Amino acid sequence: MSYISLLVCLLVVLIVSQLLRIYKITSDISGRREEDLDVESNNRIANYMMLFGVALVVSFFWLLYKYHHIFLPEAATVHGAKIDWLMNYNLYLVSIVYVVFNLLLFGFARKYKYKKGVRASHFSHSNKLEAIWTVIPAVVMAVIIVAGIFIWNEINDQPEDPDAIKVQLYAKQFDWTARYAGTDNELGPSSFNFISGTNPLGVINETIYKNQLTEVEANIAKMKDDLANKVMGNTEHTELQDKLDRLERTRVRIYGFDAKNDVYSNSADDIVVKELVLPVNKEVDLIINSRDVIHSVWIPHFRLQMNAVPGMTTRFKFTPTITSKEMKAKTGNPYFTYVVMCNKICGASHYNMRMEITVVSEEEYADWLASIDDFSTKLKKLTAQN
Amino acid sequence: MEEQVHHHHKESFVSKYIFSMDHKMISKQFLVTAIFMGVIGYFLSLFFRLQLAWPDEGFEILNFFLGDRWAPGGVLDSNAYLAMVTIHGTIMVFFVLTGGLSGTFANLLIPLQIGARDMASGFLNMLSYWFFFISSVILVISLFIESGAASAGWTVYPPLSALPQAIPGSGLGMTLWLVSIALFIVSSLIGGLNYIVTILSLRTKGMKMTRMPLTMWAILVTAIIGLLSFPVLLSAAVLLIMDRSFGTSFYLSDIYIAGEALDYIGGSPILYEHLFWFLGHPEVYIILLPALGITSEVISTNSRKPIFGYKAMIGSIIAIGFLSFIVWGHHMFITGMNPFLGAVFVATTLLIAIPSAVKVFNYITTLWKGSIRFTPGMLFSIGMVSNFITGGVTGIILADATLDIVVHDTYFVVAHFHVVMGVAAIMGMFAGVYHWYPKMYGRMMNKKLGYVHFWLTIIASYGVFLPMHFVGLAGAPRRYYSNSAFPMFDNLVDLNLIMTFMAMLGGIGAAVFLFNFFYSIWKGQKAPQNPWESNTLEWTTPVEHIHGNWPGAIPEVYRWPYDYSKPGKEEDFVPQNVPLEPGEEEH
Ligand code: HEM
Ligand SMILES: [Cu+2]
Ligand SMILES: [Cu+2]
Repeated sequence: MSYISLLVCLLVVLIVSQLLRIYKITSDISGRREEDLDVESNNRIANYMMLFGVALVVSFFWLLYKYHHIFLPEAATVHGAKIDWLMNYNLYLVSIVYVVFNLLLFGFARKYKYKKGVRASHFSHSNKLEAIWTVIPAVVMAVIIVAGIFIWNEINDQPEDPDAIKVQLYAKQFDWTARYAGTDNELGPSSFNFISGTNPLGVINETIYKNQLTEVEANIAKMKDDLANKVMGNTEHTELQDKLDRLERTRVRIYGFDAKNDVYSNSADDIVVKELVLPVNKEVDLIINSRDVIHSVWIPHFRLQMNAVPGMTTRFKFTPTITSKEMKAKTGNPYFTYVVMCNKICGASHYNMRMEITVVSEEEYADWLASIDDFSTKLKKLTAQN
Repeated sequence: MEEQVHHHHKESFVSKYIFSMDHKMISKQFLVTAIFMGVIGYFLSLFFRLQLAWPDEGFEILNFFLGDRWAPGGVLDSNAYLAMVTIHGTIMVFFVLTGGLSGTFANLLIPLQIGARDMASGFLNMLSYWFFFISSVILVISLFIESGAASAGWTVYPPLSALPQAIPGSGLGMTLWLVSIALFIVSSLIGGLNYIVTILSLRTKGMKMTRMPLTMWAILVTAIIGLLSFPVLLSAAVLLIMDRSFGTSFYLSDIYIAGEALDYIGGSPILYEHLFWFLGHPEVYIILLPALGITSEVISTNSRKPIFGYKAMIGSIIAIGFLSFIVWGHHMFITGMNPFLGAVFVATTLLIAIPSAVKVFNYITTLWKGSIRFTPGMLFSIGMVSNFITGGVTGIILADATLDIVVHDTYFVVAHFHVVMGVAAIMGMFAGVYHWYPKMYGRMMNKKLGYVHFWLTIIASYGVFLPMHFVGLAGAPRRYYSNSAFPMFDNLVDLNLIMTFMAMLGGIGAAVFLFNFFYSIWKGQKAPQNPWESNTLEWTTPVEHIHGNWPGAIPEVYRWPYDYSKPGKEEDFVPQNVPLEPGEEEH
């Protein structure tokens, strides 16, 4: 197949060059030159220009007509509705400018084509005109800036509700984990030094501190043993040595934490889950972290996007206004779900980082919370197992 | 002013065609290299567009080009997808539209349009090309290595770009990427310095700054922007190299990956983003300004009218150049930056829309009451302005931090910058090629094929990018290998198909151009001295290239370059080297 396409390409090139030769010979005979103005063809192109300008506008409206259903449905948060309002006005403005100026451009191209005996004007500047069209965009921009900044400040303000539900959204390659702050509405401390298979968020408390230290010690001992006694290649040896060095430095960092601390108890009632369930009309204070590379929380239906950056915490507060059930009815789609996606390139499965969100009534939310083991209970069960 | 004629000495093939120090030859070297890179960049995009239109379907052609490692059974691998996206972006932004566009037209036009025998330093000029060449070669080689080319996106944000554990492309592939970009920056800096010095100090008698063609102004400001911003990217790259290879923590902190905690403490990936976009935004104008300069020249010549608002155009170029340094934060609205800082960047970004709008008004008014000749160069210039309008207006939405929350990193952004920067600049570049081809190769390109190329290109490019805005407004994130995990995007299939077909159509257009370009080098009609009846100095040089450009004395300049259709003149153009008649106003 590849060879056939190659052959076809070759053939096309040959045919075109033959055609060009004929073209060239006839040009030579008739004395026609490339740079000469061919009035007939010039007129034709002028018409095509106008045609294209119109087609451009028509195809824009056609797309709008045919594909407006792919746009996101109504915003499902308080701030989202405000963003949509602003977006709509901006889109109207932008569409008008797009249509008018493209039509002017292609229209003028058609209108002021070369005409025999008509000389172009020498009109080269007009301070008045130029002042006008500097001031108009300046004024329009000023209005847009001010309108935008009001909403921007609102979105970025502290949560209004002092009891806003605190939820941590924690990103890693390639999934999300959520942690609810529980009844005390305080998240317990965490650090990447304490991450392990059973503690994906690196939450710290007394037990975990002890366990982690024991595990690290054991690993260090094992590595040292391997280095001394196991037969291995040079690269393997260096790699293991590096790993050992890193682990020893992790141990030093663990020593830097208190073995005991009052704040550790904050995590006892935290709830770690793989989905988000949120009560409608209640403010949520989203606390966003990442453990490896930059990810980004993108919840299109909430009009919510915020980067998850390793080494720092970002936040986004919002209030859901439409339950999942209502949204199913509104969109006429029984399978509708709110979702979190990742919107910062983060590796091979970037496109697969998905977490479901369900917005429910206050009571359903309470039931759901009660049905899940909190952190200390889970930890106890785990210890009992071992 | 130097008056003697440069004598011709015999040159070897090597010194004439390879290690040439003649600006005209170097310009052609840049152009051909850029065309070559552009072809690679196009094919990469075709590969990933195939995957986007027909996810998980096998294509023999993919397997043929990429082999079993990257396209097993003809299905593009997801790591390979990211590598293609990354290298496509890098090639197009840096190698085609920065190195290629500036390198070609700055080199060709500066000495010819300001009336100089050559660039200030021919040797540095040659060096600039060879750094560019080597960096291109390294980037292309990186496509063929075992662990894959750089895959962290063209912006290569750490930690993804710093940790091979995070993505295989961040191993050797990323190292090669960094080396290539570092060499590229060196090439840009040497080139830019040379452009600035030449424009400032080698203008012929009478060529006041306010008599320079707008191309010269655009290139001058571009070179200054580059000189001030590229070093920042170089330092960003150096710090990244340090983090990757020497254990420093400039950009990294608190990382747990591949089952172990890493040692990095105290760095911030956001620091990298600031450094990157401090170059990154000026970079988009480094790309766009030369294209705007070319367009000004071509539109004025072919409308047979002075460019409207010459002084305002210069003012806008300078304003854009200045403002482009204080808007970079609009790429970072949702990194959790201080909201007040965000608000400041909103304001500065919208400010930059003003000089951009002024330029558009001035182009449109230049056409008004003109006498337009639709040469292929003119068509591409009009296409360029159209794309600048269409892409500029979506910038207004992106510039609003509030609205950016819903479009950032979606296909809306991809559509915006492809239209305003990608297509607009490449059209400006094509306009330049058609317009100055007679000057570069002494022959004419075929006009009919030029028209075919234009219509295919503008239909295809709008065909790809107009629907892409809609995909973005549907919330679809960029850099997704497939939308299969999110049923809400099932209804984008149609548009993805349209876009891929249009991308193929664009390829056919480009093939027409390539054919025309290379065919005409040998078979085109011989060019006359001033085919477009233009005013600027380059058309006073002989068609046959000679060292030193003018066989006799360098012409003296008496007027601005836009005396088209001047009342009281017989011809509708008056070249810059024609003295004012007694009593004639300058303009
Ligand atoms: C009319 C004035 C313009 C405004 C207000 C504007 C605004 C913006 C904003 C705010 C973004 C960031 C969006 C985001 O990442 O979510 C953006 C992205 C971009 N703009 Fe513009 N822009 C304008 C004109 C231009 C021009 C003239 C160019 C090119 C010459 C350009 C090239 C780009 C590029 C390359 C990006 C994408 C960066 C990335 O995320 O990879 N813009 N623009
Ligand atoms: Cu991610
Ligand atoms: Cu920017």
